[in-house]
Amino acid sequence: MKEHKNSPLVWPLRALGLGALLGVWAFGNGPGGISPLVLPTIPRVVEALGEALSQFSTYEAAAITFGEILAAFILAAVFGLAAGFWAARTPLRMQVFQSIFVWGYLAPLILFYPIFILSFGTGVGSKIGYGAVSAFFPIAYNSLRAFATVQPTMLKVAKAFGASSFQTDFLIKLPSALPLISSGVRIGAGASMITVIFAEMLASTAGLGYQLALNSQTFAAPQAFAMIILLMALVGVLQGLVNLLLTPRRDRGKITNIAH
Amino acid sequence: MRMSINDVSVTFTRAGSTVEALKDINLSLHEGEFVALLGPSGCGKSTLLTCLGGLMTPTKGEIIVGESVVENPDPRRAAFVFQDYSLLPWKNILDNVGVGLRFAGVGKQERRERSQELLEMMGLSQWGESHPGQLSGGMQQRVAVARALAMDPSILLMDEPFGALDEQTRRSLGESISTVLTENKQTVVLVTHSLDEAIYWADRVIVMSARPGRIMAEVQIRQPRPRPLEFIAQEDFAQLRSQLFLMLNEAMGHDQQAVSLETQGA
Amino acid sequence: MQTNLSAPPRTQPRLSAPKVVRTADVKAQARIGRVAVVVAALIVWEVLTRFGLIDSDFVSTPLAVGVAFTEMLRSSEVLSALASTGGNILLAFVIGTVIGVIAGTVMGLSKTLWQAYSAPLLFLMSTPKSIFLPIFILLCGIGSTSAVVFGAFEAAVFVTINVAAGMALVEDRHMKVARAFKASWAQTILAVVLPSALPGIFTALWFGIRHAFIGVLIAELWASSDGVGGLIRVYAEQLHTDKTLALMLAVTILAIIAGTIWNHLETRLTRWRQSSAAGATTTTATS
Repeated sequence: MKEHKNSPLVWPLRALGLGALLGVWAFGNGPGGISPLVLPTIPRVVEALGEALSQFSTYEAAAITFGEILAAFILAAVFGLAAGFWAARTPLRMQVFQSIFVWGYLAPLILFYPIFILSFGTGVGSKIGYGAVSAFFPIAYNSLRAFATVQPTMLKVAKAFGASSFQTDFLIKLPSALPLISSGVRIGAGASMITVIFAEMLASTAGLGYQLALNSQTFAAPQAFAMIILLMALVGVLQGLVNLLLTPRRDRGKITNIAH
Repeated sequence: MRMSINDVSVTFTRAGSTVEALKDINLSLHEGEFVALLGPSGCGKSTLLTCLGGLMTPTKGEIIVGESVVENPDPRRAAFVFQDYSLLPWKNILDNVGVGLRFAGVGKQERRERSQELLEMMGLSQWGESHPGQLSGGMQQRVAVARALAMDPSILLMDEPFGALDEQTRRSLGESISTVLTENKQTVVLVTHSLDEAIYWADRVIVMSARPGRIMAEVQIRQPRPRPLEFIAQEDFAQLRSQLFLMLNEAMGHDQQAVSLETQGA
Repeated sequence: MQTNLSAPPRTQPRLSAPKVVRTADVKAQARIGRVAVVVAALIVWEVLTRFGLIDSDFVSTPLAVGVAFTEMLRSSEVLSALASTGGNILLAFVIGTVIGVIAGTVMGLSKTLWQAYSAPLLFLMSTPKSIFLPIFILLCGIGSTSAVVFGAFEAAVFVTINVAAGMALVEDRHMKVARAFKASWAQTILAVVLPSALPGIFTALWFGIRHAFIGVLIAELWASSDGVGGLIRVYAEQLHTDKTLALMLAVTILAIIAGTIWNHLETRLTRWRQSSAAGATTTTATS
């Protein structure tokens, strides 16, 4: 019973879903009468995608976006983990900062980008800063909870066997906190992707998000659709990396943890 | 009500290969009889119980209660007491006892009265408003018995009802439930892997073997019910116990498992 | 019957480690501590701008933001923007939740559909939805319609996944009880499926509100001059930092209040789920 074999219908159903999507699209272009100015035809999008892939500037833009996300994520992970660890050291600190981290979490940070533009300009720095801030809170909050909810019995064992406080931190607290931390890091990775890409779309001078916004604002619909496909591929790569990094446990019950 | 099990076989298909869980089971129970199904794990005794209650249809053969063939679950005919209690954690104890009555469309007033009556019988009258999470395992199991009895079933089906409890709780619970059951004149089928439990409770112990699950032997326990706890300390009990132990040992085919079962069931 | 039938309940074994002891003392200190941290941050901000270490044109000052905030409450421009955005969010929430609940229930009930479409949906869920914004703008134009449709889309994705995951919380053994005690289809749904799935449904509704909210505001911020999002952009472009921040502050406060209320409501309504404290209570906060 443990290993559920997938139903043989899975791939046909997926193909059916994709077919339906493309069918609706094609229908919209043809009998649906939607102007190709707003909904480009599939061949035009494929053509635009090919064009984009043959240009060096596309790869440059992808590299910029990728780099921004990576930098934002690393900054957030380092500071978030440190903050969570520090805040979990005493009960008082824990109480104070748990609430503050939750507030940061609940605040719709995605709307704050204008402030970052005003302070850091429209360059790469503002994207990194913005992405790092939005990823910081989920990572800090989850690390705080992770370090604060170490099983008391484990701590008792550590004490009984004479572990130093350094040993307790690294041999007991860290390993037992890892699952919750990794779910925080996962959420943080998602948050940095969301914010960096949206920031590029809002105001910037480079990156795939910028290309997307530019194409869409100049009504170059096929090119905009091509950028959407490229961005999805980039996100797919990043998600794959995060999964590799955090040893995935494919378990249906934990789905809510990936949510942002 | 009379129950007869005629040529029942059950086979499962799992990952391409077929497993014979039960093979050619023939058994009949008379009204008010208490039968224990005893056997090593994997002998299909729980599967048989599931079929008796209509939760599963046998691959071959049929089960007849009274005049009709069992095809679907009907708690008025045969009610279950599950191994893991399976109380609904979001309902209070009173509503848990009355859940079957509610499904049967019994009015609220009548349902509450009947449930309260059963809780009193089980010695849990003051716990009606509590939730399952607040009760100990033994208490939850009594609620599960009350839930089944509330349906006033002709047959009571119990699947290792005390498996998850500690020895002390098991003994005292066993004695009190035994009294209730005898008073109610229910036909009872109990699935267990404990020798003591089978002998202490049952009029007849059916010993089953594993792979395929089939009936090996049966032993009558002639002591009148309800039995006092002292029965366990008597010579008859010890004799029955060693007799059954040897049968079980044979049912399992090798000694090592027998030892582990012995310590488990002690 | 010589039994000890009415033994007191055993103390509940706690599966999760208890949170650090919340004595009244620590609680009171923490309340002061939180205020102190916020006040300290505000003072640092004020001082840094006052001494010109940060340019107040770009980050404004707490006092200026406070003034702008009180003025804002009387500005008809802001109030009508709040009303229109609020209406859009509500509409997006309703549409997205209805679609999500239906899709999630269907996916939760069919194992095959779950296996086929959960992976693409999860991918969609963790993909920044804003990259699809141009499609909505192209198809629905700039304005309320695309904000509502985009918000509904965001909400529906999250609601679907969470409702489906909530349905997975229905335990087989409880379904077996329903069958064994001959519950009808409707009784099974009412007495077993719904109560079991309630925590999941609650989480789903929360996601619905939150993402309808974010979706509508993102769409407004990116390509619309009406609503709160549009107003934030306009203020920022005019370098009215104090007004921009005041508006963000208002939106943030609303979001935090909504989140806190929801957290309390959720714990209250699913209180019987005592042992799952660690998992269940974090879902809302961590989303």
